[in-house]
This record gives sequence, structure tokens and C-alpha cells, in this order.
Amino acid sequence: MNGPAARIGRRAVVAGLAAAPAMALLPSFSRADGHLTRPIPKSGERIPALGLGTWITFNVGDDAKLRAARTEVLRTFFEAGGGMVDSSPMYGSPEAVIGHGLKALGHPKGLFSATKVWTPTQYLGVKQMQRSEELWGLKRFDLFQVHNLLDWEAHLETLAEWKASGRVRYVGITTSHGSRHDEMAEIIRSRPIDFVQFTYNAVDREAEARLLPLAADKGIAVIINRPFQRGHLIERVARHPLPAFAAEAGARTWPQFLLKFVISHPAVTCAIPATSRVDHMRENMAALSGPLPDAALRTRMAKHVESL
Amino acid sequence: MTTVERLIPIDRDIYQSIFTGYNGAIWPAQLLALAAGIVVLLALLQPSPERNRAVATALAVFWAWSGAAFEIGHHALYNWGAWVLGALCILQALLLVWAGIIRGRLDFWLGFDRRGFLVLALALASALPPLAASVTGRTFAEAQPFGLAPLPTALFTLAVLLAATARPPRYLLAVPVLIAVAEGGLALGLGVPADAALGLSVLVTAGLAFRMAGSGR
Repeated sequence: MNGPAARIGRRAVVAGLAAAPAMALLPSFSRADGHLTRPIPKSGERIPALGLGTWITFNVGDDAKLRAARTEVLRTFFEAGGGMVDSSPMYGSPEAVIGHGLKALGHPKGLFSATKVWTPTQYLGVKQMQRSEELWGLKRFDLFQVHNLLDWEAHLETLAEWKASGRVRYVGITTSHGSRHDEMAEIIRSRPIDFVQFTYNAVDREAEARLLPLAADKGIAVIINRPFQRGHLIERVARHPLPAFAAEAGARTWPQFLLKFVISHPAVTCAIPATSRVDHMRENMAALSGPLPDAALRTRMAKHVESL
Repeated sequence: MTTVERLIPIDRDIYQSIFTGYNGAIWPAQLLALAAGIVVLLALLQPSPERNRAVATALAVFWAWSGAAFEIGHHALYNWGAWVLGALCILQALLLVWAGIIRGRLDFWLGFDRRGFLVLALALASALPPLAASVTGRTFAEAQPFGLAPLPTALFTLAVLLAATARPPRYLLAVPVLIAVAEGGLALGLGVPADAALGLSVLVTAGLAFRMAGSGR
């Protein structure tokens, strides 16, 4: 994805954090079509604040009917202004399914391709990354991440070489389920990475204490996985009415409420909810429009969800 | 969130579609496997050294197919853990070849006594999932096929080992137990009670095979 080249430095990110209460009023968080974008701190390139996760939902193997259905989900995603599609070889067949969908859609220009390397050795990591390029039908990924920090030192070495040669644009690391935050924090402090990915949502908020401020301080883009706790959070809130104050955050449904909570954190670059349904995709992507909650409203939102 | 949910990249729908795709791809191998299973039971009724080896060969083929064709050739497309399960199945095939064909340590006899009826009942249970699928709200194609997927193969193998005239090597019980724990646990975690029950049946039968096989003959 090619965006404006304006650099967003550490100072600007920290200033953004300080200005969080006024975020809902800041036009710089929106682009011309009204969809929320966020800058990648290391380059200033802007990407849509909502992406697409593929854990389980795109693991449909070579079933032609299900592949066609996932292609429609991808089509809806891009039509609604989506950019980042995130996957991993660990997920099973999603990379092949994404590659099938991208080919069927004529390789949409808005794609920000993100996948992971997940092997215990550097040699196998290179082979796996080459395989990911084949499966997605890409000559260059936008982002390669070390999945769950597995053999991260070796893979970051490879990724630094690939980035230097232009084979990948950004590199990063991931964890999920709130695990291994100490190790991730140490890597954020000491390594020249562009992205981090971890879990954050209205009830899993450990990242607020350390990882989110640290990433902002170091100028590292943040991808949020499991914004719905893999659906459990939606199940938890769905039997309750949406509170009246949701309108202040521009949320008309619970998924939008939960997504707006996540992407309104000033250190968050992109959240990657997963879905296998076109109607859910439309509902999710609507969270890219309208106002965002400020800090006070975010606190109220989190307290309300915790009380349910 | 359960441990299974955290580790397994599939949900209940994908689990079902894995078997739908597999059953569609291998049809009519299911009928051949059922026929082979009946031949194995008939061989137990009138055993001979040659027939004992043929029984071991048939079981080894079931395991090798389950490992190579189902786990590695199909299931691994969706779930990286299937590589491990496939390797275990192939190991079990090799152990059956070693114990039953090379060492000749598997002798069988199936009589019309209590144990004989137990063996027949368990063998029938291992072939039941496709027939029972409609009762549990699934289609025939969503069920684990007899002899061509690990859980039915494990149950049938242990049923046959119950008919052994001498206590079979304990190492023949290890892989079925591991498969039952892994695949039965997966089915339980994903909310597929029929397959979870199949896994539980394997564990119970492994216990019976460990205690009873070869005794009192």
C-alpha cells in the first residue's frame, strides 16, 4: 500500500496520546472518503484502522463453495475501505484461501498484506516465507511478523535482510491471549521493528498499562488481534441492549461499539476482527466512519462492558 | 477460552467440512473398508497363522491410510497438528507389521462367548458413526468413516486385540490411546459429542484390552 510519505515521529505520537480526549474532533484521523486511517509511525503511510483477521474464519481448505464465500467477504472488505489482511501459516489453509480470493478479485490495490513466520528454525522460516509469497500470489509483502515470538531472533535477522533488499516493507512481532508481554516489551525496546501485534479489547486491557504506551513511545505501529475475544465478547454483550451513550461514540451495534473502543486508543494503528460473513463484515467496517469516543467515553464504555 | 480453542485453528463447522470433503474425495473407499472389516471378523472366527497375519495386515493398512491419506493428506491442510497425528498413525501401522507379521505375536480366536459378543459389539460400534450420523443431526458425509479415519480405526483395532489368545504387546495400545485423547479431546472442545463419545469408547476399550486380552483362553 502506498500512502502519503509524511513522517510521523515519536513526538507526534506522544502528542497524539496527550490529545486523546479531543480525538473525536480531530480531522487528521479521517481521510477524504470519511474512513478512519492511522499512520504507520516509522513511515507516515496511512492505513485503514480496521483490517481483517483470518484465524479459523478463512481456514476452509480447498472447498470451492466456501472459498467463493470467503472471496465475497474479501470483496466486501475492500469495497468498505479495508486494507490490512492478516494471516499466518499456523492458521492452516487461510493463506491459500486469501490467495484464491485476491486472484479472483484482481488483486485489489488497497491491500496491505500481512502474514507471519512460524517455525523453530531460520532455514525453515525462509522456506515458509517463500511459500507464503506463492500462496498469496505476491512478490512482496507489506508486513512479515514473527508469530508468537517463536525463534524471533533468527527470524528478525532474516526479515532485516529481506527488508534491506526490498522484499518486505515492514517487520514486526506478535503475541496473543495477553501472553509473553515481558518478552515483547523487551523486543520493542531493543529491536528495530515497525509493527507489534497483541490482544486488546474492552475487557482484556493489560496492554494499556505497558505495551500500548511503550509502542507509542518507540514509534511502533500496533495491530490489535481478538477485538471480540474470538466472538466470546459479542456473545457476552449481545443479550443486553446497547447503551444510549453508544451514539456518542458513533456505534449503532455492539460490534461497532467494541471496535470503536479498540481503534480509538491513540496508540492503536489497526484492529483485525475476523469474520466469515458478508453482513458482519459490513457491520464491522461501518465502525471506520463517524465519531470516535474520547478518553472519558472510552472509560465509560469499558466499565459498561465489564459490568455485563 | 479453552486450551483447545486457543490451539486449534478450526471450529465445529470447519471440523464437519473436513470430513465432508474427505468422504467425498475417497468415495467409495468407505464400502471397501467396511467389506475389509467384515473379512477381518470372519478371519477371527476360523483363525490360522496366515489369517492372523492377514488380520494384522488389514489393521496396518487401516492405520497407514488413516495417517497418510486422512491426517497428512487432508486434515493437515487445516490443522498443523495433524502432521503429528499422521506420524502416530503410521507408527501404529509399523508396530502392527512388526508384532503381527514379522514377529507373529498376534494370534486370535473369536468364539460365541461373552468376550466374542463384546468384540463384535465394539467392532460394530466402530462402524456406526456414519449410520448414526442422522440421529445426531449430522449427515453421512460428516461422519468419521470406518477404517479410514483414526478414531474408528483405533476402536476397531482394540476390539480385534480383545480377541487375541495371548496378551498383545502393550505398545500396540499407546497410539490408540494418544489418538483418542487428541481427537476425542478436539471433538469435545469443538462440541461434536458423537466423535467425543467415540474417543471415550477407545479409551475404555484400551483399558479392557489392557486387562482382558489373552486372559482366560
